[in-house]
Amino acid sequence: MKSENEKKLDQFFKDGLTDLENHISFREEDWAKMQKLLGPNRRDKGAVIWFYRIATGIAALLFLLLGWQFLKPVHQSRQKPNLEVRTKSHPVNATPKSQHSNNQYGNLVTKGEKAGTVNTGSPRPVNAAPKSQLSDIHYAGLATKGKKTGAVSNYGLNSPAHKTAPISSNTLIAQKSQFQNNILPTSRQNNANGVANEAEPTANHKNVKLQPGFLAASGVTGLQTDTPAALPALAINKAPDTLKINKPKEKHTSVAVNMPPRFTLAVLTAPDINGVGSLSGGKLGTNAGLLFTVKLGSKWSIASGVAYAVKPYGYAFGSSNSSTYTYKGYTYTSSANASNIDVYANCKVVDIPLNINYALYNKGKNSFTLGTGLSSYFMLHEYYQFNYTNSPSRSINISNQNRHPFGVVNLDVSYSRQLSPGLSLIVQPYYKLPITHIGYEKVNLQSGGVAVGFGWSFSALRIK
Amino acid sequence: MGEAELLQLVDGCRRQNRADQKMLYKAFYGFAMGICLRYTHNRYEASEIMNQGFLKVFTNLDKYDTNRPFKAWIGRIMMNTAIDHYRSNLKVAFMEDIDAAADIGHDDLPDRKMNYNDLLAMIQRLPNAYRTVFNLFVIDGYSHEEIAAMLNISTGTSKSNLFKAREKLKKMIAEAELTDGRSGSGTHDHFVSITAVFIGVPFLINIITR
Repeated sequence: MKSENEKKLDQFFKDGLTDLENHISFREEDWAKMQKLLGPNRRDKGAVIWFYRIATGIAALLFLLLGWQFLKPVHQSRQKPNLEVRTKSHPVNATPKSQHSNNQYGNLVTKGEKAGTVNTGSPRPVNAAPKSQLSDIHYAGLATKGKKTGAVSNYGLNSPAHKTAPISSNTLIAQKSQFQNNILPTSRQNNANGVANEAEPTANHKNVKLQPGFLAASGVTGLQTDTPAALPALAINKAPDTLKINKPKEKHTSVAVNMPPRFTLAVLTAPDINGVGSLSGGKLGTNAGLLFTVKLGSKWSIASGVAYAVKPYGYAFGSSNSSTYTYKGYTYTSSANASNIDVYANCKVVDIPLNINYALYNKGKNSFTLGTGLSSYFMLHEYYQFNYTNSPSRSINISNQNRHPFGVVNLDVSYSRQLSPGLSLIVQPYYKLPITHIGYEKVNLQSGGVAVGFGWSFSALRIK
Repeated sequence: MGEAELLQLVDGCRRQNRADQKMLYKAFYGFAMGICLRYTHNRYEASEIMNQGFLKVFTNLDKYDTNRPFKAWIGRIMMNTAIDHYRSNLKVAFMEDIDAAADIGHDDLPDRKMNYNDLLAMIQRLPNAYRTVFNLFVIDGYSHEEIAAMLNISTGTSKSNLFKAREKLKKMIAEAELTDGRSGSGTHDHFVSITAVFIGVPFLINIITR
């Protein structure tokens, strides 16, 4: 009896409380508390931070590439054995104090603001030239730039003679071998007193003194200066048989290095078709972006950039015919009320590709390039509309929550037609095949299209 | 909510999609709150426990077996969270002497179905220990052995608490009926008194005038 009463009491409460949930209304303040428990939406923050990291990395990579190209010593002088002499001003003074000058390529190179003493055998200091103009004399030919005057400026023979009475390098008589014997071997020595010895010539580039014997042997018998009284005029006799100065094979300075363009900056835009699983029945989207290509050789190049794409697509999901189905990697068992869903999606994506290209054909103005690589998708905004058969449709908007670094394989063929030396037309059919599930819906989103645009080629290498 | 839609929500919650989390929260709010209200004194306490439970739901979605009903999984989490809350508040739990819950000997239950608010109020008025055992045994269908294991108490204590809970509930029901009855008899008394006055006054007047 008592047990029956207990059961009645239990059932009384059980029945009364079973539909309790139907009498409880949602309170927004409870969700606000829940959000505090969940904490800040780390997903959003993480996506933004990740995006900035990727962007910074790409920017740094491009910066390094550009910097490497600009800072790379392009001027590879083929006249290393040349004697390069640069003087800006050479007040040929008796003072032994002359500034140290650079010795490039191991040769005698002076940039002395204060020229060394020219000891022509005369005890008098050479004060012939208060100033001398910049002149570059190459060892190989003792050639000077510009007027090709034969002022042997760094050897104390620096004078405006090359200005006032230019001596052609062809006429400058200085026997190379003798010059080498007398000056060059000791040119690297740092002779404190700077006195050149005939027996052991010490032509310190700080303080160069030429012996009369050397000058005589070199055929330098006179040198025109502004102050002839101060310095005996040295006439340089033509002795082409013995002292012919070789012309430099290549001009030294202000060399414009004309290299084939190594960089291409392309602006591309494309209508593309997006579909899940295949492109059949896909929807038309668009994308546009910049592509920066760096040539690694005659055939190979790498390309990266950024593109903004709008990718609409649709697909159907769910099945009431089968008892089980697979969705997002999980296998589910359909219940009786499982409904079919038609999904319409529209995603706005930042696409950062990193491709490697191989030039299949490159003749004349036409070139064909085969490219492949990986793209990173950053889903800026995703819109999904779910149309159910058994219930009202539902839509979802998601922003900055999904990213797929190197999640898409790129395949493309580029045709480039040169329109002008720096400008080319680019037509690029491409296909993007995901290797990971894309977006909130984790779909196999494929894209294909034909990008059209213009490329600007440049080498960025012009130095003086 | 259809199964496919639920699976989408669950998947979104797995990826910490806040919009999906809110949708799931709203979808199971009433169900979860209903459980938590039964195990607590008031809605404020129930809300605290429910949110703790949802936090467990969101952080343990990877452990959810998709072949099992999601609603049952959430319900179990809510119940466990409520029990955890009970355990953590054992020291302050109201323990009533068994003698105070004497059998009122009222075996008859009210014929009318009481309002769910009334029933819930009765449950919530029970001491924590009684309420928890009553909920686990009567509503959620656990045995005394299971309850004893869950609450770290003996089976005898579980039975005792259930007994006391029942007795208290009976008393509450009786009080509620008595209140209703009293409110009804009071009206009758007033009616009788007024009638008596109306009859008595003329009778007295007649006696006096004679």
